[in-house]
Amino acid sequence: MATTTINRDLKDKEARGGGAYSSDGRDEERGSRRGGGGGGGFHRKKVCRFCADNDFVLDYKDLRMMQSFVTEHGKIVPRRISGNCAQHQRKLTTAVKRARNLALVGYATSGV
Amino acid sequence: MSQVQSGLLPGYETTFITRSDVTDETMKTFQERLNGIVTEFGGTVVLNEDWGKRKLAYTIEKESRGHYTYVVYTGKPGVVAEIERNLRLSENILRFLSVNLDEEFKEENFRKRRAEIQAAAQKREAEREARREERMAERRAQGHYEDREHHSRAVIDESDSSEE
Repeated sequence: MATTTINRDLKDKEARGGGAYSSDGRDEERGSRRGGGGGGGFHRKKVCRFCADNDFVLDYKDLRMMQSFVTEHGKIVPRRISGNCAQHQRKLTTAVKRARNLALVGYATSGV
Repeated sequence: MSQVQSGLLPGYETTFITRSDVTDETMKTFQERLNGIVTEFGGTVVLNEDWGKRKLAYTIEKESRGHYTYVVYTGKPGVVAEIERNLRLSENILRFLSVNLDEEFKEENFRKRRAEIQAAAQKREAEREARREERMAERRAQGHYEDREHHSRAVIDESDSSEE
């Protein structure tokens, strides 16, 4: 029983993949991808960047740093997205507000 | 505020924005005035940094550009109030912000830490640059690969048509 089905499969494959070598290769690729991604959602553990690197300092004067924690509309990026710890997020908000006062970072605008 | 025992003065930093069309001379006289205030209160000017003209994130008093100056100094209680009073009096000042750095300010530590932070920032910048270049190279390689694929497909199409 089992052998016959395998044979049939083989025949099918032969019939399908005449000269189309490339299409066969693509099928294989797709299969492997489906097998590897088992387990549903993909989640990467976020680490607070200020805790991880001692020399990455929270400073309202550092424009480059500030911009990475502020959206293009000037909103502060929430903790659940940036991955900051509570202490640093609290310090970040005061830093952003200081930078806003000095016109380094804009106040939140509705866009346009 | 609690009285400091060790005799070290507290440290402050003040950043202020002046109008972009202010001449260097008036800036200089103003700086000297600030320095005078600091020495009057028994402190020293640790750092005086000129950030140059920058675009403001939003207009202040109809100005879209401003000249930033950053000063770090020490002094007995009351310096900040006096400096801010002077900043407020000047019409060329758009904005200012003063922050207490430390209750007991050690100049050496401040300079050391600052150098460390700057070195780290430079390193990060270099890394970012390297990553960008890497990505560019990758994209270029990918582009070549796609071109080749297109080419091979075209060949297959041709052979198919010839068979028919």
